[in-house]
Amino acid sequence: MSGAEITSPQPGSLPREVRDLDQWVELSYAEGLTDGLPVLPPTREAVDRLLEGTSRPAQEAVGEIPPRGGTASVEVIAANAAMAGCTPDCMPVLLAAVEALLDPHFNLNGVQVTTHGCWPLLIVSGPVVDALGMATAESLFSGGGSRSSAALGRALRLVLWNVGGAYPGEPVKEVFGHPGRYAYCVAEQREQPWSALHESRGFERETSAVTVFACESPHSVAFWGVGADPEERLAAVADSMHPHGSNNTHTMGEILVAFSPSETRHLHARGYTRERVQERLFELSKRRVGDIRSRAADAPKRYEWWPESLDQDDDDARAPIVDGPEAIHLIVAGADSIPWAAVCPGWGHLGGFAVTRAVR
Amino acid sequence: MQIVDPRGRVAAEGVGLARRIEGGAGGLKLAFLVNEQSRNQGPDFYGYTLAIEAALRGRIELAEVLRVCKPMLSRPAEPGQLEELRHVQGVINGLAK
Repeated sequence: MSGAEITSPQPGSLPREVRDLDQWVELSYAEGLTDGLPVLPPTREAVDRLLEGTSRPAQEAVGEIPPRGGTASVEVIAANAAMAGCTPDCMPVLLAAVEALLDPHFNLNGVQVTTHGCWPLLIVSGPVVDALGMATAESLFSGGGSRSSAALGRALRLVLWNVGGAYPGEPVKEVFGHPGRYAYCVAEQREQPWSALHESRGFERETSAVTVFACESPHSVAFWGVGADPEERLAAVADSMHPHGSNNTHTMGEILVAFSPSETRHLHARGYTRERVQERLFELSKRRVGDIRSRAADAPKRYEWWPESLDQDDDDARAPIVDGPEAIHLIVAGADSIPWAAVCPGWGHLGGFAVTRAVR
Repeated sequence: MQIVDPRGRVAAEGVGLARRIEGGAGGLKLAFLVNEQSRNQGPDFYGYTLAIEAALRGRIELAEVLRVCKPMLSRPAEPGQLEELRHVQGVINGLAK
């Protein structure tokens, strides 16, 4: 490369000249254009190629990304996609994901800056999963070796970093962090006995869709010490859904549970549909009030978000850990080998709630 | 070779510090914006505002003190609440935990 020109200038913008890749790498770090991992240069040519992947105008504003409030135009999103290594056919997925994040129900501003270790998980479902060659099996939570899976998660991260200004310390107050902040994207398997995630959220099966949900890293559930009875197996999953320190356990909200294909078939063959599993997990994951809330004088006396029907003075009452069965988001993914599940706790009642958008 | 800036424009960049409050006749109108009224854990900011008010009354004349509690600590104040705050001269905001 020789000679660079910044085409979207802003106050204090980048230098105009970049001689070569080495200078770009140094510039990207000096200007804080990356969270630490190296990024590809968003050249005019690379961005234009990505813009061919969408019919939307380059200057169309998709929205302002909090907390910084930078305007995420289609072109700016494409620039971040170029830095992440996306291909043009990723663009419709990425644009739908950014739109989903900007839905007020998601509370992106809060998710970006919270002390909690949640981060937007991008879940892709529908025909686009196969079209993009996304990982749905082994190691899918870390990209599974798929360019599209890794690049989409990475591009979303860079949009939130560069346009949203989600810098650690100021303004991000996250105490420990989340490895998924580098890239957090999974795809749901198409061939499975349950309805797909996006179908359960009101979309047609043959529609491609993205769902964003702010959650912690996956917590593995291995089916140790249980038999074939689905109730025993779901109880094992429920046990991982309500640890004492979880936001869900105290404030409800939403949670995500992934089932491996073989475990899904096992449940399905015994009459456990997606909806039945949600209902059973909702009941089995309730936790005894006396086990999760102290009666010490300086402990909280009431949680006003708990349902009126729950007697908070009764230590034996069982408190729900999510807002309802439908707040347990199920996906079928992972290696089709031994039965397994994974639980991704949410941010509780504070936000990060699942939002789904069609890919167009 | 051109490079596209990945940061996006910001309409309100460069906002400075609030100017020092001028006291009017009869004292200041002051407000506390409390992130969440209920005490869930840790320090109680609502209670702390009572202590701050008492300390301030020993130093300056306060005509009016308003307390506005956000319905949810993780979300911005409601538009109606922000409207209430427009009528005071200073707002003190604090964390609930």
